[in-house]
Amino acid sequence: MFEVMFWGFAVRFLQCLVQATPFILVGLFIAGIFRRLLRDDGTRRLFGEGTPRSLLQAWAVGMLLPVCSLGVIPVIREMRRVGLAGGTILAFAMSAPLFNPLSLLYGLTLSEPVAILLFAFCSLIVVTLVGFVWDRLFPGSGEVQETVRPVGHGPKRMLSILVVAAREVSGPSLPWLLVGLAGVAMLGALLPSTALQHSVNGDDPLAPLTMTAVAVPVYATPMLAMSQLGSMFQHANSPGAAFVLLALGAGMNLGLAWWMFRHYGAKKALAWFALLLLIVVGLAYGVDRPLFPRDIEIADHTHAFDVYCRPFESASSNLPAMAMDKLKRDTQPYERTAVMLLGGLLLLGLGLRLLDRWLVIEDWLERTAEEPASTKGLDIVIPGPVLGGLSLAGLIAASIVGCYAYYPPPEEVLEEMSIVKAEALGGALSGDVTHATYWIDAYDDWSRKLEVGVYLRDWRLSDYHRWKARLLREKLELLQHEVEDHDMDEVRRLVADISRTHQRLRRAYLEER
Amino acid sequence: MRFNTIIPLLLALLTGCGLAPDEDRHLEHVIPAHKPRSYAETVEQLDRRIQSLSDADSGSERITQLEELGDIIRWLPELAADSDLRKPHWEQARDVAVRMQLHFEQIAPEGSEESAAAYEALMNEITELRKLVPVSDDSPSRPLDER
Repeated sequence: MFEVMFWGFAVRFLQCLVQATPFILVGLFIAGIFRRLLRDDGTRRLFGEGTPRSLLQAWAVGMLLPVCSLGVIPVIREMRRVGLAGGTILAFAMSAPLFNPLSLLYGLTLSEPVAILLFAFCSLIVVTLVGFVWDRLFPGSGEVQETVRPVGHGPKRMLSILVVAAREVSGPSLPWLLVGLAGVAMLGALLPSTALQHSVNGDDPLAPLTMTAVAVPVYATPMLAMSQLGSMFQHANSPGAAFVLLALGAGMNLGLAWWMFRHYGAKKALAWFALLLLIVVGLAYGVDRPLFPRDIEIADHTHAFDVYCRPFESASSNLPAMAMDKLKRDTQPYERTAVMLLGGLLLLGLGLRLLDRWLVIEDWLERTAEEPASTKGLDIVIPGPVLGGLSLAGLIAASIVGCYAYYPPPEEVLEEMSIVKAEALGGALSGDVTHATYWIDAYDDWSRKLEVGVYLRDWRLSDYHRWKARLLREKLELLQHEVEDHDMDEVRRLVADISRTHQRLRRAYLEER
Repeated sequence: MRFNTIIPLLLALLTGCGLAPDEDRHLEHVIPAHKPRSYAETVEQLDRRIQSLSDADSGSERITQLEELGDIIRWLPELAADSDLRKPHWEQARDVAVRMQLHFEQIAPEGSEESAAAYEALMNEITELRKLVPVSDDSPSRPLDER
C-alpha cells in the first residue's frame, strides 16, 4: 500500500508541475514586469490602489492575465511588496486563476454558457465581498515591504526582468509552489482511485460540501477546471459542486493558503478563509438547483476527478515503470519546452545566488545608466510603465492568438481525430485497457477542441454540430466502461457504432457548416 | 503547519467515511428500456404510443405511458442527430420536437377535449417526422432505393 501511495504522490506531483509550468513561467515574468517596468507606482495604479474601484480592477486584471493559482504566487508577492491592500491582492489571487481567454472560450462552448457567465459573475461577488469585508476588518494591510532602485533603459532593463524571474523561482516563490504541488499530490496518495466518482452526483445535497473539502488542496489549471466543469454538466453532476471546484480548486491551492497564513498571520488568514468558504459555499447552494441541466440523463458518477485520486489501483512491482510511462504519455510537447525553460530559469537563479558572493547582479543593473547621446528619429527611450503596459497587453493578445493555435481549424482537428480514433478503437478491440483509456481520453479531448475551433472561427456553433460531438463523447464513455468490464461483444458493437458516429461528425463539420 | 493537519482531517470527515474501497464500483449509464434505437424506431414508437394513449383509460399505467412518451419526445433531437439526417432535415425534426412538446403539455392525465386536440396535433406532427425516415439511414446495408 505504501508503494501505491508513494508513486501516487510522485505521479500527481510531477503531472501537476508539468501542467503548471507554462503558467508559472508567465507568472514569474509578470512579476518581473511589475517590478522593473511598471515599478511600484505603476503597479499600484494598475490595481487602482486607494480608490473604491481597486477590487473590481484587481478582478478585471486577474481575469485577463493567463496565470494559474501557482503562477499567481510570484505576482502576489510583488503586489505585497509594493504595498497593495490585502483585499486587492486576494481579489487578484482568487480571480486570475479562474479564467483566461483560452479557458473562457472552452467553457463557453462546452459547458452551459449561462453557467459559465454566471460563475464569472459569482467569482466577482466572491472576490469583491471577501476583499471588501477583509479590508474593513483588517485595515492598513498594505504596507510597502521593500523598494527597489530603477534600472536604466536598454538591454539592462530586459535582463533585469529575467533576473527577477530567476530569483523568484529559485528563492522566495519556490516553497509556496512546492507546498501547492504537495497538496494535490497528497490527494493522489490518500484518495483511492474511485473515491470521487460518486461524490458530486446531481442528487446529492452534500455534493458542494464534499467538493469544498477536496477542492482546497486541489490544484487545477484554468483549462483543466473548465474541462472538468464541462464533464460535470455532461454527467448532470451538481452545478454547486462545479462552482466550488472552479472557485477553490482552480482559484487556490495549499501553497496560496499557506502564504496567507505566513504573511498575514493566523487570525487574518483564518478570517479570510472563513469568509471565503462562507461565500463560496453559500453561492454554490444558491446556483445548484437553478443551473441543474434538465435535458441530460443523470449519470451516477463522473470521471472528472479521477485525476485527483491515486493513479494506480493496486501494488505492483512494475509501479516505477508504470509511473514513468504515464508521465511520458501525459506530457504535451509544449509542456516539455516549458519545463526546460523553467529548469533553465531555476539554474540561472541558483547560479546568481552563487555569484552573489562576488557580485550582486542587481547592483550592477541598478547602477544609473548613461543617457544615450542622442534620441533622434525612432531611437527614443520608451518609459518603463509604457513598456510594462505594452508587455501585459501583448501577453493578453498572445493568449488570444494562442487560442487559434490551441483550437485548430476543423480540417486539422479531424485529421488528428482519425489517428486518435484508430488508436482508441484498436486498443478497445484488443482489450488493452491502458492503451484504450489513454486514447479514448485523447479522442474525447479532440472532439471538444473541434467544437471550440469551429466556434472560434464562425462565432457560432449550431445545435446540430453540438449534438454530433456530444453523441460521440457519450459513446466513447460507454466504450470506456465496456473495455474496463471486458465485455467484448459490447465493445465490438460500440466500435462499429462509434465509427459510424465519427463519419457523421466528420461530414457535419466539413460539409454542413 | 496547523493547516496541513486541518485539511486531511476535513477530508477524512467529509469524504473519508464514504471513501470507495480500492475495488471499483460498477459504473454504468442507465439507458432506459423505452429509449428507441434509431430514428425510424422513434417515429414508429411515437405513432404507436400516441394511438394507444388516446385510446387508454386513466390509471397508473397511463401515467407511466405518458411519462415515457414525454421522454421520447425529449429525446427526439438526440435520436435524430444519431441518424444520417442532414442538417436541414435534422432542424426540421428538432422543430417538430419543439412543437410536439407543446402539444404534449396539453394532454391531461385524465383525458379531456383538450387532450383529444393535442393527440390529433401530435399525430399530424408524426406525419412530418415520417417523411424524414427514408433519409435517416444511408448505411451500406440498406437497399439503395430505401436510402
